[in-house]
Amino acid sequence: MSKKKEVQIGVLAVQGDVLEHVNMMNEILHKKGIKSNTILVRKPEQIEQLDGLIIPGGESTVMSRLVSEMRFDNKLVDTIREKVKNGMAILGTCAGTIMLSKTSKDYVVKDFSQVLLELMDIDVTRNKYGRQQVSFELPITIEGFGKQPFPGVFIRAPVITSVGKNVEILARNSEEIFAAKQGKLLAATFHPELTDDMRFHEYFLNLILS
Amino acid sequence: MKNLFSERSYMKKGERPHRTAYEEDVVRGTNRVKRGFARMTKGGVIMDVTSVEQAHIAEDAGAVAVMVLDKLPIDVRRAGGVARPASIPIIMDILDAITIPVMAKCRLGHTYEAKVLQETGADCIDESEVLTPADEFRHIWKWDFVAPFVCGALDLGSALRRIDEGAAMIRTKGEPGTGNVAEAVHHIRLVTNEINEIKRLYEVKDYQQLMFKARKMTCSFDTVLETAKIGRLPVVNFAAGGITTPADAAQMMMLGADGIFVGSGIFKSEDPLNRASAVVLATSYWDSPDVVFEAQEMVSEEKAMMGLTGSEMKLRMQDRGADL
Repeated sequence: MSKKKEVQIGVLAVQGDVLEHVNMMNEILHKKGIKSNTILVRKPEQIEQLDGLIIPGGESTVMSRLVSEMRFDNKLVDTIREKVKNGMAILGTCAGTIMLSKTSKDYVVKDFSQVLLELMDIDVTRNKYGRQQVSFELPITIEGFGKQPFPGVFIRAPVITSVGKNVEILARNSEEIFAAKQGKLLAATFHPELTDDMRFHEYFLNLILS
Repeated sequence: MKNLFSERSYMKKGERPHRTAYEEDVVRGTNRVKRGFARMTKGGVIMDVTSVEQAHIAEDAGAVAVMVLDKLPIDVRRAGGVARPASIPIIMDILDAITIPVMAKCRLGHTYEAKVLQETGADCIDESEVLTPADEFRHIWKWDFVAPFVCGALDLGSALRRIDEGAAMIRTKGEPGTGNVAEAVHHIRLVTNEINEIKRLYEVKDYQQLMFKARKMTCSFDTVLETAKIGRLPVVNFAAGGITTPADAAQMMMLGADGIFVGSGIFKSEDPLNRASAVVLATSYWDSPDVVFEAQEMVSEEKAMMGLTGSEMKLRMQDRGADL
């Protein structure tokens, strides 16, 4: 593995828990002695310089609407897709996972559709557990993280219901998939950024550097 | 950001035990999950709605959540009398109709009303001064609930007192139903200035003065210390009360709000869908004046809701209810 000195990571900052990701990523970068800071990205030209993009938690309907905003001629979506072809890594958490997915449906409202990036071969059901009162914390086991369980924070979480052949499942129980990886794309239905456990973001950084 | 609060036993009451064996390690209603919910709404716009039709418009426009109430704040002013929460069937219909979070308002201090709203399955409860206060001495003890609460605040003291009572989210009050952003600006400035003051005390390690501050604000020292340490409120803070135009929203974001509540401003205008979309765009892209300009271009001042200012305004909602 050849390590680059400079690595530019950005967080899609149209809506959601952006700063939590920025803070956690910066802490890791500084710990590793990498000087660059994580930046907030809202415009297509900012995507161009990135090695890794984080799509945070939030409301995926809002993100869908804002990334496909007609006034920007869909450029944000196109730029992200183009950059991924050229090797940009993406980490999606919760709403970010919905954005990465090929198809999404809502568990309650049946006739529902939204703009997705369609980058990962995964199917996602939104709000599968239900609304906020059902949100929960659950320690989960993640592939490659050793025996120490990861504190899963699930907030109005989606569920990955099925994955394609080239997708590697990182965390699951008997019925639901919590985390998956396809090439340099990483998706989690929970919120590592709301915990003190930095292993998931470290995993993402290693994915960028690999 | 981490939860620096020292955990006290009373803070854990909201936890709902697991229901099936399969869920044995699952915990619900924790502080992290409740405050986390609020964090997911950051950078978004929460819109007041009174019907399913309005909820659909809000969702299509890109609202991050809707707030269900019986009458929009300006109509509460016009109608007078006692303002109570929305009818349960309307809340239930909205819960079935849209995918984004649904919040509902209950009266200040009305614990049982909040319990009823929690039973509807609403995502979040707003203990709101827009409705007529039900208890002139106390707010709701919010730690006991699984649903997160959002509460209004006028200044840092009132924000921290609500957090002490278990609020997972704060909105600076402003003056609802007026179309005038001045009070919202005033309140967020007060909060920011007071936080800067205690942050400075923390930096010079003057804990005794911080203790005096806590006593003066009649809130817990823990909460003051945590706020001073991180230099912002320990929970998400939205701006509310009088926000009408996209530029109003961008102004509040510039002043440090995490997001925006819009009440009467949208559905009392003549161009609700356009205006709602424009406010969403301006809130998200608040630091790009060129985008806020485009958002502002989408709305017409001729169609904006008529504002109310001091002399016409008989009722100051921000001053209602207990604040101990």
